[in-house]
Amino acid sequence: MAKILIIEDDPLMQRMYQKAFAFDGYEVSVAGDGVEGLEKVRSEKPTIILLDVMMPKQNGLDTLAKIKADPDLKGTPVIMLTNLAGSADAEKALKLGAVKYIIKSEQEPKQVVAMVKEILSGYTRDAVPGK
Amino acid sequence: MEAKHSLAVRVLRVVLLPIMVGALVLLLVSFFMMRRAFERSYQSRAESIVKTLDSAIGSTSDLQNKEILTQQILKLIYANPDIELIQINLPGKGEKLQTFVSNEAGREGQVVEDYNQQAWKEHKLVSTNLGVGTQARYIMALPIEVSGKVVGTYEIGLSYKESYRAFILQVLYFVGGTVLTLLVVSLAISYLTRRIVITPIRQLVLGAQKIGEGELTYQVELKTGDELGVLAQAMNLASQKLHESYLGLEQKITERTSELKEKLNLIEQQKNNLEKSKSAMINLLEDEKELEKELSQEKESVEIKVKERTRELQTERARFLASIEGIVRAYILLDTRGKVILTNRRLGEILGEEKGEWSISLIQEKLGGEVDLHAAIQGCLKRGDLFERKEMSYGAKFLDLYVTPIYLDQVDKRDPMGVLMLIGDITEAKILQRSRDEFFSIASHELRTPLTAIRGNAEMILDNYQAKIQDQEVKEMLGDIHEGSVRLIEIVNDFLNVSRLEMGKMEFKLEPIKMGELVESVIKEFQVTGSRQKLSLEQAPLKAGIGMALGDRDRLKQVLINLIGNAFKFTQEGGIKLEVEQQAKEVVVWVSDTGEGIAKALQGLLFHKFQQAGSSLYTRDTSKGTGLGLYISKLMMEGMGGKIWLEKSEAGKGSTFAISLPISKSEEKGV
Repeated sequence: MAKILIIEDDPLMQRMYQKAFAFDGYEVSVAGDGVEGLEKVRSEKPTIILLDVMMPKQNGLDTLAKIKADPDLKGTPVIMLTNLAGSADAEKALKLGAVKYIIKSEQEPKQVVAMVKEILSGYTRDAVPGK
Repeated sequence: MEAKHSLAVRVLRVVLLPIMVGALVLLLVSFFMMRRAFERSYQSRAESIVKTLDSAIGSTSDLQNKEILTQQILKLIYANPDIELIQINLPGKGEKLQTFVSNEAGREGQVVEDYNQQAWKEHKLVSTNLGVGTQARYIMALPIEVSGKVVGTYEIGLSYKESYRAFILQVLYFVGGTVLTLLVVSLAISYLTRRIVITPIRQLVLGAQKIGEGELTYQVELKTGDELGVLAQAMNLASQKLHESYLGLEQKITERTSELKEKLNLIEQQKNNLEKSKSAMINLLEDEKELEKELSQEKESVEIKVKERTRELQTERARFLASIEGIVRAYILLDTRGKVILTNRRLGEILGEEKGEWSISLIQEKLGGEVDLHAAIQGCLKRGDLFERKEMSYGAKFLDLYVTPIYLDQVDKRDPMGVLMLIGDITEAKILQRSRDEFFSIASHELRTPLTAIRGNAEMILDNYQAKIQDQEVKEMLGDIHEGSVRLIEIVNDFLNVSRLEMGKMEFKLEPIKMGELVESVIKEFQVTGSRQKLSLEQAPLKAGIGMALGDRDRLKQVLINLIGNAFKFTQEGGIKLEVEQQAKEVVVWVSDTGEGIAKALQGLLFHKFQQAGSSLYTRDTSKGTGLGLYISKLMMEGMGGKIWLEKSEAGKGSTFAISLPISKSEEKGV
């Protein structure tokens, strides 16, 4: 089963998405900030990463950049999560290599899960890293 | 011209007169000399006679003897027939000289004439002439001397009778001769003078006269070699020169005359004009007098009115000045040349400097390069519209600026009478605005996270714990929690969008869009969410050849969702129809419903913030949203370069809203 890594500082959101993916049978791990997140990416090698933009210590965009800079990790698909308005961050993220950009408040958790499924199925054809 | 005195006459007079006088004098002199000669001859004859007598007498005693004496006298008379008188005078009685013996009888004893007395007394010869013409005689008295003593006189009288004739003849011959000579000489002189002098002079005179009379071509024919000839030449030359200059003058005169004629004509014309204006003026003056009377009456009544009005105006002005001081903004009143007429104190307060008199240049200096006041003023005057700067930074403050032309007639705005400039200190308002905007952004963002948690969790419970929740009420409550959170998220999204749109922070990604496809996909979403299924929602069949619209895809979707959502909210039965059309250079989408419609009075409230087209603040359907939907749609459509409007609406029948976007410049045609 695919491993999901959720890098999100707000515990409410952490728990919500954790449950959502758990209901669907995915293995989920969480990180509370960008630094911890990067470590866990390296150590756990998840199938897909959900990355929040606004975080302490190291924000999502910088973390994304670091992930994509690492040859081992850059193949992992990253979905950016945010509640911020403005598409400037979205474009930046997509340019840096994020696969998708989701506004948390706009989507029901199950919709997010569906999106992840879609992406994974797409990637599975091309060989998903970490599995 | 005739000479008063003829030169010839004068000359002749001058020449001949002396000659005449000379001749006359000569005549007289010769006459006298001849006479003298005669007299001399007679005297010598008389003397010889006396000598004879004297010698004949011999002695003094003979002198006393009358007979001897008489004899001697007779002898002499016989010898000289021309002796008219012969007499011996001796002193007689009283020693007076008397005639002793004479040839004339009866003369004895007579006292003798004076000449005898004279001869006797003075002891000398005295002669005289007596009588005239043929009776003329020469009388001579000679003193008788005896032994040195004068004792008496001899008296001899010789008649000129004979010789007189000869004398006269001689004289006549002489006179005649002289006269003749004179005549001849005169004639000669006359002729010569005439020829040499007079005639040439006459010719010169004639010439001069002719020239004087104007015959400048007249040439004096005088070819004598002397001074007169020279004069003639000079005259001819002069007259020739004169003639030439006269000709020249004549020409000039003709020219000048024609010039003058023209000028005269002009003057005539002007004179006529003057005459006309003069008569017009006279008329005017008459009218004026009448008017003056009326005018002075009017003047009085006007003066009274003026006093009233002045008072009114002063009150108005005081009111006006007081009111402009009360305005919160800086008030600057300019004339049409851009010169400052009036300012209020607030100007100094806002700009942070007290000045007695402000000018546009001074204000411009203070505001710096933010705005070109002169250009703004000129633009206002020319175009007659408002110029505004809603935000300018001024040190630590923020200012706004309004420049507008002002008109005397608010309806017929033709020529501005000035320009009004207002500067406001909006620092507080801006801070307020900013904090409000920031509040919205931050609040929205902060609100979303917990709301997402509520929504997500509620939904997951409903989805995944269906079995565990058997209680219907619990299910309902969870459902309400979910619905509440969704609504709240929508509200927060609305506020966030409004603040972003108003701050201009929303970006629009414009791309060519096939409207027909977009509408279809939106409709599908509504159908997927399964809301309000009892109402129909469909798109009218698309016409061919509709171009691609230029717009932001996501935002456009939002607008369509808003419009359709509104339509559903206000429709009980029937449905909603969408239609895509091309009109000129725009793509239009019509959203028509068969709902409640909107009353005309309330249609003006649409597209404004927080407005629901309801009649009172409390008559709100809070379940139908915040009332920001149309406002946001409007800002978004306009941000994309399109439009949104209410096409028509009738209470009870339904409404039709419309949006339009410009055709994308690329030539592709889509549906």
